Amino acid sequence: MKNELFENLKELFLPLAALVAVIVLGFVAVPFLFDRIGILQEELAGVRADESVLRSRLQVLNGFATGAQSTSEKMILAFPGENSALSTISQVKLKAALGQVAVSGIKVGKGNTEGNISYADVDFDVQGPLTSTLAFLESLKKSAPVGSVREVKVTGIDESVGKSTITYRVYWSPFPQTIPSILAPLTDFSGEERDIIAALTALEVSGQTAVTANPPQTRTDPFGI
Amino acid sequence: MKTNINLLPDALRGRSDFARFSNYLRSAAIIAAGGLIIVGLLSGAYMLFLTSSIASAKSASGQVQDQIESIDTVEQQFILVKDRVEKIKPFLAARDSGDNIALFNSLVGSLPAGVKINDAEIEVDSIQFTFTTPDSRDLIGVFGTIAKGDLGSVTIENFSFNSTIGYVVSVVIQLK
Repeated sequence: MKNELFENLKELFLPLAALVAVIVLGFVAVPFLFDRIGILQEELAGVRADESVLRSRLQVLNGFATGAQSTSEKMILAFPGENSALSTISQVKLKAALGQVAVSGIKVGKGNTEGNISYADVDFDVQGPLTSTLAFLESLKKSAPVGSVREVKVTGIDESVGKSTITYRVYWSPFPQTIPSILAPLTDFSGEERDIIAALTALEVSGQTAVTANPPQTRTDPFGI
Repeated sequence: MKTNINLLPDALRGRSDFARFSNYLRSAAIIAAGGLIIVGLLSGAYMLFLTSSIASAKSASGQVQDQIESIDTVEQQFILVKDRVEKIKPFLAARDSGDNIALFNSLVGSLPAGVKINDAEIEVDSIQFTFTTPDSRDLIGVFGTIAKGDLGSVTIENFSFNSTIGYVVSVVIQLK
């Protein structure tokens, strides 16, 4: 009887051992396989996301490529990287000559910085009727570099020749030194930004309109001799 | 002592419980092993597919990256223009005194004929001016014109009378 029991147990041992081995292998191998699959799926999603970002970036750049050179040059002139007061003074004199108003007492204030943008106030006096002064300021605002009228003090408005003291603010900001990573999303210009680009690239650059110098005037004899 | 003797041949002899159970275990082990092999084969095939897809996507990304690098000048110009626009945007949106000059000019043109503007100071948020008139009725006309414009709040800074020139009034309009 003892022998029979031993024989029976021997008969059970192999299949039982095999089953246990398969179960243990399953508990070890299957999670490993699924884990590995999960890692690969994550990697694939990441690579596809990068590809999407790159394609979007390429599309934006291809859309901008036409006229990119001209646009960037005009934007630099409109909003320079360094103090633009001298360019503004040049425009003030040019526009005054064209607008037939007299400009004097040009002074440039100290540069200030607000955030990542710098500005300075250019003060000057304009002699002429208010309507001519208005037209002069309008033409100045349409000139590069970009600026804004901060204050106008007008005297003698009803006289044929009035006088205005104007404070005109000019802006500049250093250019970016680095380009964002190629994998960083690049968004195209919004409608509002395109309007700003159109407005800034339309600003007249000094030198586009020639101003002829007045010829020497005959000096009258002050003594009447 | 009783001894179990079975004279039947093995083929006709019935299987013992142990033997039956042993068969069940054997079948279970075979099924489990088969299942594990199938899972392993399918997982392996799927991992091969994923690996291939990753390689393909990386290759496509590489090609796009090469195209971007070939237009790096355009990229620099784009970044520059984007930088300029983002920095100047808040300042362009701010009110400009130049707009107020046209407003003031329009106001001056609407005033009664007897009113004389002496001087004005036009700033970003306000217009201050001094006027004279010999006729008190013109005062009503001036303030009526200002009120029609819906410009903002109006403050009289100075109000005096001069027997030679008439009324001298300084007004400050705080624009909306």
